[in-house]
Amino acid sequence: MAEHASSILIADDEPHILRALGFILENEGYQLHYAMDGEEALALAREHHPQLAILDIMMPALDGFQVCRRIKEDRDLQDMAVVFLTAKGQDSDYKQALALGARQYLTKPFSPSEVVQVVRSLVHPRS
Amino acid sequence: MREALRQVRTVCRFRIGLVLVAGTALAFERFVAHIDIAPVVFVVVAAYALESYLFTIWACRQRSVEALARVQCLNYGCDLLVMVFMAHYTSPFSPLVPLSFMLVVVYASMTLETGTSVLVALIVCAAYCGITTHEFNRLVLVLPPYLVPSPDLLLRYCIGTIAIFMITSTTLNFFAQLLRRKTRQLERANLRLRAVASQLRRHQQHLEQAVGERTRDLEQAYQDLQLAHQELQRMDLLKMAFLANVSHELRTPLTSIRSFSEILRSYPDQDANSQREFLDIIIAECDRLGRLINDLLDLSRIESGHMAWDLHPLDLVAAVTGCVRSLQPLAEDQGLYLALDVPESLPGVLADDDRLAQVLGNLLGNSLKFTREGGITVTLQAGEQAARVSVADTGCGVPEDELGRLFDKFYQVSDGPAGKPQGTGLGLAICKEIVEHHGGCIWAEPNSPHGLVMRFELPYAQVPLPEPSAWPALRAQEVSR
Repeated sequence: MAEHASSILIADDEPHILRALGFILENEGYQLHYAMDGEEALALAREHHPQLAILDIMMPALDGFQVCRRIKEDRDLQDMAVVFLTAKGQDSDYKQALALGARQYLTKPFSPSEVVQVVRSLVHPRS
Repeated sequence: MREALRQVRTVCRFRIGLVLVAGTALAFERFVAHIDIAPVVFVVVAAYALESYLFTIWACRQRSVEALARVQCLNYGCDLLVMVFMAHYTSPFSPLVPLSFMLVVVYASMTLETGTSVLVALIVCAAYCGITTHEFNRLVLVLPPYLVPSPDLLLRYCIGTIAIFMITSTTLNFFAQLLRRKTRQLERANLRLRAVASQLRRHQQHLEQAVGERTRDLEQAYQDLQLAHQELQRMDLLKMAFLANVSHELRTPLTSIRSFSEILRSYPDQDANSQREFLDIIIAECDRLGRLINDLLDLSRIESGHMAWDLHPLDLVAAVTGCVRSLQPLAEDQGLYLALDVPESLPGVLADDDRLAQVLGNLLGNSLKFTREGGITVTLQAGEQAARVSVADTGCGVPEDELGRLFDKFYQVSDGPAGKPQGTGLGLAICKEIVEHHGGCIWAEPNSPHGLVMRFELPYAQVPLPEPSAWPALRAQEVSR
């Protein structure tokens, strides 16, 4: 069975964030898919079945919470790990994220090394 | 008066009763015991009954208590006559006779005034004593000597009777007076009580009215307070939402700056192009953060009233022309036209030229951002009360339902041509504050066939526009509206 790189979905409406995260994670050896809004994120998730999704919350079309809910409701996508990376830092948001089944909740500004650590703990570069 | 009439009727009934009793006794004596009683006795008894009845009717016709009392006196007089007659025909020494006289005394004491009742008592005494003496004298002639009672005995009998009658009369008078006084007192007290009761009722009504009014006032005040409270809560929520938005907007460029800074540090052996790219991003995001902070401060200053306005009479034509000319090169770079349509002259407006330039710059900047082909037309029109400036572009425009939200803080059009727009979302909000501070209004309309028209109005100055040379001398500091 050929090993192939684990794939990660990143969704954020800020192109610079996508660029920064993409740079870091590609360096670690992951394959990346980029989405700029909630609907695009869902479409990519269904198409590529990534192991992990890193979602911003404030996005046009569908927000991060709604994307997470739909991923968890979908039988095919249930096993996908979901991590939130967002500028919203209130307690209520954190609780809502956990209630929806997210594995981690990171706030912006973030440290790239921290993100790498979290991602490594959830998904190995080679599946 | 009613009381007196009631008494009269009671006495009448008593008399009728007495007549019946006497009549029955007499009839018994005549027809059963076969005692010889002259028919005239029955006639007198019947006449007495009739007289009583007639007297009662006459008394009831009287209008005043004094007249009633006088009629009663006459009535008692008749009673006495009948008593005398009965005493003459029956034995004066039978117990019925003094009893009847006593009854007259009692009634007189209770119903008549003191003086009259004493008089009646005296007359009754005299009559009784007279009768007794007369009968005694008659007996003396008829009875054998050993059966005749001594005159001494008679005298004692008379004195005793007088004493009893007078004692009865005075005692009863006294108590009757007492009762009458008490009754009058009670009546007066009753009247006073009623007066007080009606006063209390009035007070109570007054109080109820006052309480009702006060309750209504309090309810009104409570509703007002509730409305104010709801308004405050709403404002609080708005402020919280604004703060959350500001926090989010500030953290976003900060995130990029930090991420790329750390990337540059953690991955030092990147190629020069990548390094340059990242540094450019850092610098751009710093600028963005700077613009955001400036806009926030502007907005905050305007809203809190700490902005220093420098309103003075302004030639709008010159100001607009100047702004448009300065942005001409930028439009040409993008391949768009920038047309200007202004009248020869306009009535002057009171405006702060820096802020006006900020508004025009913002509107033109937006149009340039959202227009791919075609261009922008700036029009100046003279309305009746105000000057109207229109900035029309042929860009992607804004959906109808979002036109109203354009001026909300942090609102940015969802589908910009360049992905996520790089603006702060506060530009139009600031424009709105500035235009409204000048006393005007700003709004957006769709352009046909596509694009957006932004319009704002500035009311004319009340003072006439001075000669151009005199402008610097006319700066009115902080003309507040």
